[in-house]
Amino acid sequence: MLKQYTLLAILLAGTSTIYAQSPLEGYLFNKNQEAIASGTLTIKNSKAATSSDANGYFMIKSVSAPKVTLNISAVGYRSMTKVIAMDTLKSPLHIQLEEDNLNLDEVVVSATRYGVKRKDAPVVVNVIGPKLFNATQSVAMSETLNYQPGVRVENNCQNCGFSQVRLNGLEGPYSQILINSRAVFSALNSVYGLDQIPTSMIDRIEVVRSGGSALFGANAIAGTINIITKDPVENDWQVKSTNSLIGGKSCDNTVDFNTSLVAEDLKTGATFYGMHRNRQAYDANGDGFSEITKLRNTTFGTKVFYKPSDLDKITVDFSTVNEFRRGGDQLDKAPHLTQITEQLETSSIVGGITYDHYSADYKHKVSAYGSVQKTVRDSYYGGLGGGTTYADSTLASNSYGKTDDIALVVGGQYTYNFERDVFTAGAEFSYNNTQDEIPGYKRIIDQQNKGFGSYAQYEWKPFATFKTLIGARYDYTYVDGKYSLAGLNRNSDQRFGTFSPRLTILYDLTKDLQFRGGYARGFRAPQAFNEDMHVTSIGGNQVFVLIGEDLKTEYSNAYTGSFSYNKNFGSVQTSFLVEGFYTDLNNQFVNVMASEKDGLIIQEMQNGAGARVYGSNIEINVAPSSWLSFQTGGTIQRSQYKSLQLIYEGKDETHDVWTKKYVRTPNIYGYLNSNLKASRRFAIDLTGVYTGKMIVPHIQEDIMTLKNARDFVELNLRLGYTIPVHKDFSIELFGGVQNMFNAFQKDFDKGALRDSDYIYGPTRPRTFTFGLRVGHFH
Amino acid sequence: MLFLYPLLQFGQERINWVSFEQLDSLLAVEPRETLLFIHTDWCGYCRKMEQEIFTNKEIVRRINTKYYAVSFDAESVEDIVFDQSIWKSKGSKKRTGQFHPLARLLLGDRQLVFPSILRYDNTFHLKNIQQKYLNSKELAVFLK
Repeated sequence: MLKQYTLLAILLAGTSTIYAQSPLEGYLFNKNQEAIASGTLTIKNSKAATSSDANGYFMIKSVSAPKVTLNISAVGYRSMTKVIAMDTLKSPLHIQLEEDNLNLDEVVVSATRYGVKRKDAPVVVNVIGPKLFNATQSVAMSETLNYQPGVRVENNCQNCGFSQVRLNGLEGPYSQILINSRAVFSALNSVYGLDQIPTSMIDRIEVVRSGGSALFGANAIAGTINIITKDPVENDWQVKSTNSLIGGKSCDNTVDFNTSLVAEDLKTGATFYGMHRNRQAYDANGDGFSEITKLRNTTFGTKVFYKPSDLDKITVDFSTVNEFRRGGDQLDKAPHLTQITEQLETSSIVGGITYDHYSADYKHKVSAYGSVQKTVRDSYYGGLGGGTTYADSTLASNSYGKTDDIALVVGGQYTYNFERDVFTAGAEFSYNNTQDEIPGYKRIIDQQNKGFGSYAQYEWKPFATFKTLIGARYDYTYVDGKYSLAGLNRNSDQRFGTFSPRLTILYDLTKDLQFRGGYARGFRAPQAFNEDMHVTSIGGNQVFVLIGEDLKTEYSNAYTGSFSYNKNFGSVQTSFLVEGFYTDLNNQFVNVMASEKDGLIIQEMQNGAGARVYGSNIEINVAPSSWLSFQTGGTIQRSQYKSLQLIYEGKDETHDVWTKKYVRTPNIYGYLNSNLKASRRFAIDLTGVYTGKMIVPHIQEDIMTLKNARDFVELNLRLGYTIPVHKDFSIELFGGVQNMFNAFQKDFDKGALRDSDYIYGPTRPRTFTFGLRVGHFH
Repeated sequence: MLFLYPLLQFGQERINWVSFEQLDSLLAVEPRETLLFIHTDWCGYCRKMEQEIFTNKEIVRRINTKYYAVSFDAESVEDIVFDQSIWKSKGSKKRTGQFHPLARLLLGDRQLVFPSILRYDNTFHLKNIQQKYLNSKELAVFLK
């Protein structure tokens, strides 16, 4: 049958100019001998074209040349080209087309954004998005990170709730936390900062394990956690209230909102977000001392953009955090009248500006940015500690402290997009000044860091199946620190340059199977890191970290290799990843704790004799359909010192503690995340975290023992029901239980002489949550 | 929240979206130009166009008087009858990245990016295509 109009806008035009000769006719069919309808056939270098009918039949009336090249394409089939000699053509052609399955594994990127498809990225990028924030009922960022392979968040202090992220088993300072790809987290901020970032401001979190890209800082040895804040498009708003009951007795209430406004011409826009959280302290063992810290937190922020032209964009962001946290006993009394109190009032302001410019052909991109962060903190780390003497009381009254911290980053980046390759280069200057003072302990940290980093990276794609990132960075580091504690004085005065090469490759072995490999070099200069700004209490005495004498810079070499397999079985989408990692550390920093002296415990930062961290991450994703998905993964690893490492200096040598294994690092850990969308309105999420057995140091009466901690399975269930009241207005009711089997540490110490660092496993006992979300959301 | 409703409801003039089936017969009876808007559920720019551009008075007036307008979800799982053929969906369940064969065909060799806005002449031959967000000014130019 003849078409009145063809869909592809291919015309049988210009036939009049060709003098008629022989017609070209034939049939299109597939390997099952079934006709292919609506295939299109065009003759190269001519305007002649047609399409096949329901019987697969096609005909081009007049072909003038003796030899023609016929292009044949049909939806769902591979396109093909056939050269036909017209004079030998006797009967209609029979053309068989092969089915095209390539489109099955198509990855989608949003239209006007320049995201790299996850499959094309030479490094394994794990993305945590709003779905997971919801599924885990998280209000702060620290609660969601567990749900990725190789990532573990742990609580390190019963008094102040200091938490840290471990990537591939390495401690917090080995990872770099970025906000919108900028390193604005200062040493101080990263202590409690993970609890201060509301999920409502986050679009997604990108986790990259192990180094790999030269764009990341030198301390990104274990990996990078990049928090991408929301970039608005639509005019949306939502308000959410989340209410939890921790262990059946402590309330945790949060209200948060976010809204975005974007002009119809996309030239201006703004997002606003805010959160207020009020959490009561939780006492697990009825001794009157908190195991989970009391927390009151108010965050507010905004991000505004303006596009003077299609090629220029200016973004300004601003946020403020006010936080009060307190742990210990008698939380309603003045801190110095209690046995133990750790109380922190933090006020922080962050502001930043970014300018992006594209050339008219979008091949060149230049960005310049600057960001400043100022934090003031009033602290109290102390208490009577079980003592009743006049001296105890005097010390307790003098344990108030003050911290000032200012951090600044300015930098620029240039990107050039070749036909297939991408070149990136940039430079960045960072400055951080931290002053921390607690007169009662004669403790002063006065530290200035300056860093100049420059990098260049080339993304080379010589073949369709092979891609490599070759890069290097040069960092010039300047640390000038004065550290005093109880009459001991230490200095760090370091100026040095370091060259760190980075290399990663991506090779598509087959359509479904990919190999990635990488090498990265990194370093850490001797300085006070985040955990050093935090003071803990053991046996009624305060524990301080003091930087050691004549410290050497720590170096590391990290290697990774992974295979990923993506395949669809019918409508079931699956992906499987297995990754091996090996990190070799030299002169690694180890905090060696000494026994109590004059009411103080000093943890001295020393250089170790080297360590190896190696293992593998596994990730399995299965999505039987769009309403059901499972993600699970885990890590099996070893973290070992190359030789026995001293971690505790006892009163005498028999009480020294040496270990070859890293403490607080399980060999096995993993996660599960399953989502079921039972109907358009009703969703069920089941998530879980497994924390394997590990050794945890425990100190009582000046004796450290390494205890074997049990393993934990933490399971969370969430039910959500959405009521679409209007097309622009929905209500969601949700509720659930976190840690439903109450897998929680049982052997907490009791009383004023407890070891407040002796905390491990899931961060909360069984917790019931319910809440309400209203707004214009999708 | 009821007080918000009057605010959300303003701009009652709406585009008369037609289906492909209707378009078939409309084109046969009274040929006109066609505006095809290809979108997906997850595309924020598409929703923004639906909410803010296709509700613009001037745009609505122009489209309703001069065009047949088809709004097509590229991930639709419905069988579509158009141009004397039945375009069968690949799966019975909606899935991100599983595009309807008709969407693939209409976009030809082009990338499947959204929104895609196509303008056809009154014999349904492609006149112009834009594969990006168009604000009301840009869309007015596109429709001129």
